[in-house]
Amino acid sequence: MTAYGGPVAAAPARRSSRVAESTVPGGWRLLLPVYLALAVGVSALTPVLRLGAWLPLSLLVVAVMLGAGAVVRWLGGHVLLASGAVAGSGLLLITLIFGQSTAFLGIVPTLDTARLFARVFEQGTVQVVVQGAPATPVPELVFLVVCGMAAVAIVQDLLVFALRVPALTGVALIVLLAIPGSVLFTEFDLAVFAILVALYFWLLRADVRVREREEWPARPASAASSGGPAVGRLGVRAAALAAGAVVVALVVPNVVPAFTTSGFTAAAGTGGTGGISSGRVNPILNLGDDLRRPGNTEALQYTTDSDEDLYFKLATLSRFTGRTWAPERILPDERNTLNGIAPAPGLAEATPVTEVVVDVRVQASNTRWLPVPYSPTEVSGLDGDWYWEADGMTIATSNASTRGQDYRVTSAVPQPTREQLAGVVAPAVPSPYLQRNLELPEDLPAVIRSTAQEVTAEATSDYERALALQDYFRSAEFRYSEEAPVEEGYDGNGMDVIARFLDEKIGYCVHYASAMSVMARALGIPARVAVGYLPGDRRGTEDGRTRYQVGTQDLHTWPELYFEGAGWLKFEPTPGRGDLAEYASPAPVDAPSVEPSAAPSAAAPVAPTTPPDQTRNDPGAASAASVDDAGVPAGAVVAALLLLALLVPAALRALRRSRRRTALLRGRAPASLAWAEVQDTARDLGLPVRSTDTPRAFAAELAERLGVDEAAGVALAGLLEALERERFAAPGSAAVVTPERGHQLVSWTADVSAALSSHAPRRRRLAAAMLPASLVTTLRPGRPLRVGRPA
Amino acid sequence: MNNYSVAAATNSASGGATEQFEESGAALSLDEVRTLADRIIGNIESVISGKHEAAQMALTVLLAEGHLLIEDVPGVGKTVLAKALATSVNCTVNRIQFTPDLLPSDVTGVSIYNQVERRFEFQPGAVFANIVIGDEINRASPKTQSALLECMEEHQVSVDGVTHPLSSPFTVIATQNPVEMEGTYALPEAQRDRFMARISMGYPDAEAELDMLHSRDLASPLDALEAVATGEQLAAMMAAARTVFVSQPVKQYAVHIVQSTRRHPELRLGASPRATLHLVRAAKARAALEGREFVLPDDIDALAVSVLGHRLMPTSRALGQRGHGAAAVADVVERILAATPVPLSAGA
Repeated sequence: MTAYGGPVAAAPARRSSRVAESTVPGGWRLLLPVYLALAVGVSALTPVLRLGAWLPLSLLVVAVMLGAGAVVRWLGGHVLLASGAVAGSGLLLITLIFGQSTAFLGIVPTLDTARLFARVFEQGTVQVVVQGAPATPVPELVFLVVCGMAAVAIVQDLLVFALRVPALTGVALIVLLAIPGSVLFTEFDLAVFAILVALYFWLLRADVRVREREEWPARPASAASSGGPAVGRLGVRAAALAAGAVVVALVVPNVVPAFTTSGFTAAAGTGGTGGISSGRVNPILNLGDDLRRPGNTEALQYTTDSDEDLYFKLATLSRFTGRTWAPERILPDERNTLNGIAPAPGLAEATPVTEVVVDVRVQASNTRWLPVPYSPTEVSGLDGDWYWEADGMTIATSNASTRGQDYRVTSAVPQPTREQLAGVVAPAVPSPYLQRNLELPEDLPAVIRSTAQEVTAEATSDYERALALQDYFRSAEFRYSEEAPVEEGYDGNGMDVIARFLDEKIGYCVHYASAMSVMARALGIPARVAVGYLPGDRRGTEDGRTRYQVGTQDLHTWPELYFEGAGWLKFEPTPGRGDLAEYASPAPVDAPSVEPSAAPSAAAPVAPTTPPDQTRNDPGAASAASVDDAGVPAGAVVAALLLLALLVPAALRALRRSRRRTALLRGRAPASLAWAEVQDTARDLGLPVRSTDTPRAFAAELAERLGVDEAAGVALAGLLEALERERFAAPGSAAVVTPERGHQLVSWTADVSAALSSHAPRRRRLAAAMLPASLVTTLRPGRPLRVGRPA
Repeated sequence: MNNYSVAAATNSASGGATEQFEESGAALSLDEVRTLADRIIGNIESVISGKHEAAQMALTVLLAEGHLLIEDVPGVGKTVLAKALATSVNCTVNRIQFTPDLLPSDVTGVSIYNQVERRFEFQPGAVFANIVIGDEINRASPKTQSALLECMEEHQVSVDGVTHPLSSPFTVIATQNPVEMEGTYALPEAQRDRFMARISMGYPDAEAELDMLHSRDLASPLDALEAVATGEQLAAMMAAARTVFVSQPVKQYAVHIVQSTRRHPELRLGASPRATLHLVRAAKARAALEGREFVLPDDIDALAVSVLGHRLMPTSRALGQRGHGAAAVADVVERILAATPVPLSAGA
């Protein structure tokens, strides 16, 4: 005897049964935009990497991987199996292409393959560090790029098909897009960006369509147009979502200084605190950010018995592209080991030099360039392979970093006399080496050249011209500020920035150094920009040697000008920063200078007539307050923009709410609009809103949540009645839409919404306000019934 | 000659006459329908407590001019429910106890030669009543079953070439034991389809059972039951139920649900177009019972399992997974409901 469990009659079914979704139909709709976006994304690398095998290979590998996943899904395999197929096919293909000789059957990776790949990967990362942009696509870099794209493809496939969150694919695309920006300090390529945005929109739209198909499978034509959420509204939602994401994507990489360090270059393994310390190709690019970053961490410490104020040079930027100063594209010559460092270029034997011995201990500074006073003759005590570079007399590594290094460097600091320099006559035809250091873009703004000539009108020699330029920048006209150029929008070191800087007359070392260098070139004096550290603060003595402490706020750039016989000489145009060398101090040329050792006071900072905004070099005066001041505005801008971006969803939601309210109050909208608002509020609060629920069932669920809340219960019942009457009663029997009626509906809606959110936990309420789910989610019916083949 | 037991209802005017209640002049408003319905249901509940939903369902089917199949194990009050409903309305009630030897003519009637008047006279069978209670319908032979079921569909009896119209209103309330019980002939699908709804009673809860012990102590409460509505009122209620409005979205919803049963992989046989018709008609009656002048999707939801359940045949796999017939089917229908979006606006 079997008995029936209970009454089957009448009781409305509890709608909880769900059938897990199996596969994603219409996968190709999603596949195409994903693939195209990856293809465009990888093409966006062309500014940093010369065209080569990496482009077709990446396209091929990504296509095969995504294709493999699609085939598995098409055959009915589980989504995770498909993701496995994507990863597996990528591994096999990369093995086939790059590691055939070590692989089993040429395709199955073995332990040898792994070792090979690890080695190649390491070499590839070295290439990332040492090559200037655009890099030559050596095989290691090709491998790196193809592997990177394969990884991105796996991630995209997971996001789109396994996790079903295609909106997140934008993150990977933005990273791809940010690589040229972070390496080259160029803006996004606008065209590429536009295409990516379009593809991103397409993907989101396609996803919405696919979801619709899943949720309303094979419905009769008449029902299809009425049952689901309106297609147009979905489109708007997808568009709004994408637009929000695009805004954030545009804002974030540009305002967060550290954002790009997590990008491509950080993969080099030398990632540090960002900017100059992250080992990027061009150290000047983020110098301003490093200076503006609040706080002053200890970069390095040194002791010396010299009285000289030592500038520690890291890198030399001698190529001026018009947009930026960049290092020469020279791979470190591995023959230039530190055993025999050549003399500095252009330094004649007759020119007096001061030999200084410095013991340096590097603390936070983490780069591939070794901070050394110009020009080093001997370095000892280093770990790793280090090479010297003959042009800038800098020392760099290919496989280590400066962090934690403890070394002794002996440098010969050139100390030419004024007379010597005054007598230097530039050769009529500069050598090719000097010619390179005189190159200027043809479209150099006229103001740079004319200002240079104006300032140096009275000078008779190159040396006097150099001094005149330096005096000009150190005059009362110019002021020092790390913030002003950013606020005014002319931060950087390109020629347009220089022209602007000459007009505004406010900036920091990057502006002064690049402006003076460009103007010197314009006057025919070979010039370049050096990046490094200022001498830092005196911190007492040790065994008769003076100990100095250098912080990250001592990061600095200065111009180096070339004088026949004396070689490259540093000048200091930045007001209030650094110290003037003997030959560069503004003593009258006709007053014979005393011997160098007797003139430490002359080498003291020459105070400009206007006190600089910041005199951080002055011990004691380098108060924390001024450092903080420097950090606050940038941080505030970032915070404000982030806040603004965070508020976008809330604002969109508020806009929608107020538009509905207005429509209701004017008596233009039916009760269903008020109902939609209640549903959206419920969605925001994380309550289930299913298109398979009848209005009554939904109201019952809400009422259960509201408990015994009398007013809200009445309001909810009122809304429900109005909606049911409007939707299901005979035409004409529903209440006429009038402003009075609208007022009633608005007040009911407000009551219900308020009661709902007051019953929600605080966390939910916050989420509802900041990230309203109703902006993105659509009506969510129960999962589609699994439609299988008839048994 | 009555070898079948026909228990003429206590309040029926006569067992044989064809009674035709016409709608009385003044049409009932839906509020009045609700008042009357509440009174009838209250009346039924005074006899059989704790079965509000079954009572409401029975009245719904009555108002929708359909036939009701009550299926459950013996002794849970199927017959009492049927009788109480019939008694509550002042109209003719016949009860047929189906047995394997019951003949079709016992149900429909037979022509007998009148020796005095020297002509054949039609002796109406048990179906000539407003409410016919067919007890244990699955105990009768298929031939007899189909005789009754023909009457249900056609609302008339043809004997010897003469067509005799049945009473109006005419409702069959059949009870049956689940098919797996001994000595039963399962109703074929085609005949089950004639019933508007199938309900089961379910066991009463402890309180109701205790209550029953008390009330049945001395006499059957059925004896004390009085009619609370007249046949005319019933006809007017039916007419009022017909006027209930069904909006386009609700029609779409009903159609979509029924069509889903035809596509569902766990069903061997889906619901017929007649099921759609019955579903919407029952929904109208349900709305009328609640005094509502339009049908809600909730009405469809509430009725779907009862109206569709007995017409569907689960696959053997579904049976294996989800238990016996009625439970498996109810489960499938509920899942269909949970997956069918509720349209809020009429299609373009």
